[in-house]
Amino acid sequence: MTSPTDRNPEDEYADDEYADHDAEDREQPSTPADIPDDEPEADVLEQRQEVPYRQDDW
Amino acid sequence: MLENAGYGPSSRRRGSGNMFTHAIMAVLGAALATGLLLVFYNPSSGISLPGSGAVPAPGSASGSLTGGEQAIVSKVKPGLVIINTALQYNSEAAAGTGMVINANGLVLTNNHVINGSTKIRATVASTGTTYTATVVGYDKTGDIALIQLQNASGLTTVPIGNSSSVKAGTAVVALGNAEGRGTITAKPGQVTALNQTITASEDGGSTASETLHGMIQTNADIVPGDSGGPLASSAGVIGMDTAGSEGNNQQASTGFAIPVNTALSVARQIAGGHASATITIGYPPFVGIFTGSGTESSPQAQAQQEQQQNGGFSGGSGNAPRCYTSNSGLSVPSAIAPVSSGALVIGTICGSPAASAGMTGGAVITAVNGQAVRSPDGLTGILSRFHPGDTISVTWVSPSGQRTTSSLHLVAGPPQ
Repeated sequence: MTSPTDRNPEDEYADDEYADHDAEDREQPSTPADIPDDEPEADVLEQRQEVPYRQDDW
Repeated sequence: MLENAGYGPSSRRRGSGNMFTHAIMAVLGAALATGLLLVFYNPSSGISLPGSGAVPAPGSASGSLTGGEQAIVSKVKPGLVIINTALQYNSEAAAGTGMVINANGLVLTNNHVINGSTKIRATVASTGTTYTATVVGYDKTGDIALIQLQNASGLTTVPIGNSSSVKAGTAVVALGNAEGRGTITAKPGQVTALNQTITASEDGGSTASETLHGMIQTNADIVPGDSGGPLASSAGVIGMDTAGSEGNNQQASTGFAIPVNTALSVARQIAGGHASATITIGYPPFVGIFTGSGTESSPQAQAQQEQQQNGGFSGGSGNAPRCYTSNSGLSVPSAIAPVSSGALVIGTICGSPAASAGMTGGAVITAVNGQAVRSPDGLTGILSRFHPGDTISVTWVSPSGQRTTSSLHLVAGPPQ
């Protein structure tokens, strides 16, 4: 049982006419492409090309 | 501890150098920030590419481009340069791409294209004219560098777009010196995501990996040699090709570009001579020693760590050269100065300030300008406060136990 003192006054609004009862039924927006991705890509390499060194070339 | 973190196995690694070289590469990653030390790259093996002396005249872009894509190539390609670098102290060469952003030869590229280089050449893709280039400055953290083509004028610049207005789905072309072949190749694709965070490492796994934020992701096929080249849309250059992951049967290749607005903002700081914690103007100071990294204070333990990373290989006694022209043949000295704390010198570069002062492998640096050096990282931190042209007082103990204090005049070293 929840005692009156445990009750959050904000919950008063959870059960009344302000509640959005259809929220779960609506289609959720997809994640925009520009939200930062904090998960670093795996196995990403810098794209410098290493080539054989010939001292005479330099 | 010696650092080797951040270099997980990679299907695209090509280099296979000897164990010693490999260990030294990783070891030096952190210490390189000051330019005190030298990056070591795995020499590539089994790759049959022409040397820089055999670079052919610039060629045309790839076929199979739509009219719109070809129009992008036509606008951007005249402002591109093919970059070749010599990494003398590593006995290695490398290739990348650059974008001319000023008619007098200011070129934007990645820091990792020029880092460790002792010489830089840039060939204008549209004319075949080759210039020697010098480093104006670089941002190691942001992987952005600005170089100056010597005695250049009247060059065509790349058309600059606005990376802030780019959206996922934008059609793009990635251009660059693919595989270091000396020609500009164009690869079409789309922007697939924005504001990405990546951790990129060098192919061959030598230096520390870098984490870059705010990257433009594309499915255009960015390959080695493309670094520093443009990712362009119909509006002009929107990014600088920087990193990529190879695709396979299940997954397409993914490329990443630094937004051009970000790159140009850093380039403006560099061109204005505004150094910061991340931006180095010009070249870093150079002492000319090979050493490790980490906070281990005992020189003997530092040597042990090196040997462990090199499969126990040691340079033997008495036969080690007094100095080295590159990392080739470099080995952990068996005779080490009898001190309990300092930064172990594995070897010195011939003709460098350290070698000229008589320092050799096995010496231990114990103080700089009277400030105690307690580890390789400690030495790096102290030296990072100086610049080429400065004179510093260095105290070291030789393998035979002789303590010496000498003035070393710092010279310009390879960018790191």
